[in-house]
Amino acid sequence: MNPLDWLAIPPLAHPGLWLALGALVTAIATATGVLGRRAASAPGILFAALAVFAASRAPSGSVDFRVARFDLVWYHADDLSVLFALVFSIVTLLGLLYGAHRLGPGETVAALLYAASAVATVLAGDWITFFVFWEAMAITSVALIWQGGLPESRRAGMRYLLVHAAGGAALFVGIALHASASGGVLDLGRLAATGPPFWFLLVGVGLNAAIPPLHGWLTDAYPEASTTGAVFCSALTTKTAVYALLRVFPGAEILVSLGVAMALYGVVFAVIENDFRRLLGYHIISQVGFMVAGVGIGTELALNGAAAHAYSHILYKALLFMGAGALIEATGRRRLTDLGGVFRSMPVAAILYLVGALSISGAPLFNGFISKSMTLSAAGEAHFYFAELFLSLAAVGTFLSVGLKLPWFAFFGKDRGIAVRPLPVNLLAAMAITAGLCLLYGVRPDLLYRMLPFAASYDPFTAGHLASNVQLLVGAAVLFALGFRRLAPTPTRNLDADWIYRGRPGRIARPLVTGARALGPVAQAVRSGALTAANRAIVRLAAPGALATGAVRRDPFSFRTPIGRTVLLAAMVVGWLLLASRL
Amino acid sequence: MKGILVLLAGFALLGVGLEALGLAAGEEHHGGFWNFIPLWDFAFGFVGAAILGLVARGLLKPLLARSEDWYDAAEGDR
Repeated sequence: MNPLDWLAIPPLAHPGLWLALGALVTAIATATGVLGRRAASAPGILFAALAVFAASRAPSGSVDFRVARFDLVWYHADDLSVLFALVFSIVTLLGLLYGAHRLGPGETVAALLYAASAVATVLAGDWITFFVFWEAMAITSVALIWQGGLPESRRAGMRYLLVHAAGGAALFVGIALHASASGGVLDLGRLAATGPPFWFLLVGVGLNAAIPPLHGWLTDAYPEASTTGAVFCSALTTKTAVYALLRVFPGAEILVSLGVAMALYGVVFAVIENDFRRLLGYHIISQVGFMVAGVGIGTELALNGAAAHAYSHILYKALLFMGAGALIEATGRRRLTDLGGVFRSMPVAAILYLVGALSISGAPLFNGFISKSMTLSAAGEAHFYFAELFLSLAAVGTFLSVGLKLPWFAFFGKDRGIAVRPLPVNLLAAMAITAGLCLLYGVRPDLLYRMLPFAASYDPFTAGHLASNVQLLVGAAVLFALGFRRLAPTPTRNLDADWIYRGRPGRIARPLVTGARALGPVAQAVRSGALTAANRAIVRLAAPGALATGAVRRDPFSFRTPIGRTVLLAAMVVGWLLLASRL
Repeated sequence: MKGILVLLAGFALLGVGLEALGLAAGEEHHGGFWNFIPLWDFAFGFVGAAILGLVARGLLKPLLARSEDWYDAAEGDR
């Protein structure tokens, strides 16, 4: 037997296992001094390559193990889950290669564990396993954002954590309600889009998909991650949510409206954004909108379109964030108003960025075209004519800001005489490989189509599809050429949904927080006094004299537990009781 | 700038040619009535970009734009 054939047998076939092992080896090797800081990403690259190999050969089927009364399916491989596991593994490998020159042990371990959690989430076959890895993904992604190293990274990471804790709570309640309503069925499968379980699950999953107004965490936190961390963030969390929607809610028509709203919301905000990584963040929202709408349309072609677009999006969005990171590493600047005229100093990175820009814009022969046009065609065939129209409008907006505005004002435009540092070879190599994949799938769509979950046939290269996309892009380009000065960025920050907890409403809540803080010591004193008195009374009755000899602690209730741990324990106990009582 | 305009004109011609080719080949169309209007996508790309620009710059920006350190100042108050 070929040793590599072992990778086709669970548990070795689980790509998440290899990514987690990569994290473990990195941690041990760097902690013991076997590996220096500069080589911290080397084991991760090796294990990520094994993960890619395992994912590409992952056999269909399920493997479970029993915990208490539950059969937990930790490996459930079918076309849909393997598609996501494969592209997550590929982007992890590319991301580690991209950041190899600057990744320390902490960031490497966080990135590998984040990717392992995302892979384990899409390969989970039941709601409990799914939820465990979903939450692990939230925690590890925060750890990665904190590796940004700036005070704002820490603050944004904390906000991210709190928002995702709320989303996790909604998801948990939804799972519990679903389990209750279905008589204990925990299989991860298609659910009815009605009733309280649907709404709680939609909020829980929708928050990770960044459906407005639950999207503020994304454009708040992703620009604060490190240049490498943002590559991983752009690929994993929102696409895991898309996978969940594909798995659970195909054909839920409300998702068509939500998807179209997302697609337009993202592009409109991107037009006025100045921070180019936040601009790309808005386009994650917009592109995920195409996928969410595809899930809502629910035909085989639309579901294939959503899955294919997630695959394409992960690649070209990673490439775009790599390009943005290259700009930051070369210039030290992150705002369009501070850039201009650096094309001559970094032509390779700029051209590779443009490959990503043309891909996301749906230009023919790039991978965005073969997946986006599938979703648009599915909308037309299923008679969602206005959805098709507004998604086309969003496609125009995407080209306007990612394909025209960002590259024009960053790479071309007014030369500000910015000093540009040379970029490391590994960074450019990762960008080149990612760009190569965008082009490969763009000219050979069959390589992607044969991995899709349904057998619906689709030919993107009809003259009509090609004409439609070429004309859309030319129309937008002509408008930009005539009026690009009016689209010039300005040094401003635009309020968005995170204003709810960062702006005036947050200030309104301030007296409540202050009041609670002031009441805390009083309540603690009352509680402590009452408990001490009760304890003394009990001890006097049970063992007179024990207090005097010191055999009994004066205040056995005086231990303190951090509030976060208390809330977590309480939520776990309540959740467990709820599940146990209903199953 | 002249080179860019020539390039755009070339792609515009390509778009027109492809549409004519599709019509000549009798390709099946789906979608709203607007998809059957000749050169619809070119016009939609131009007008759509203008509408998005106007909505974003004319409506949203005056409402939402603040100084870059606005959130820092708001959070610093707490």
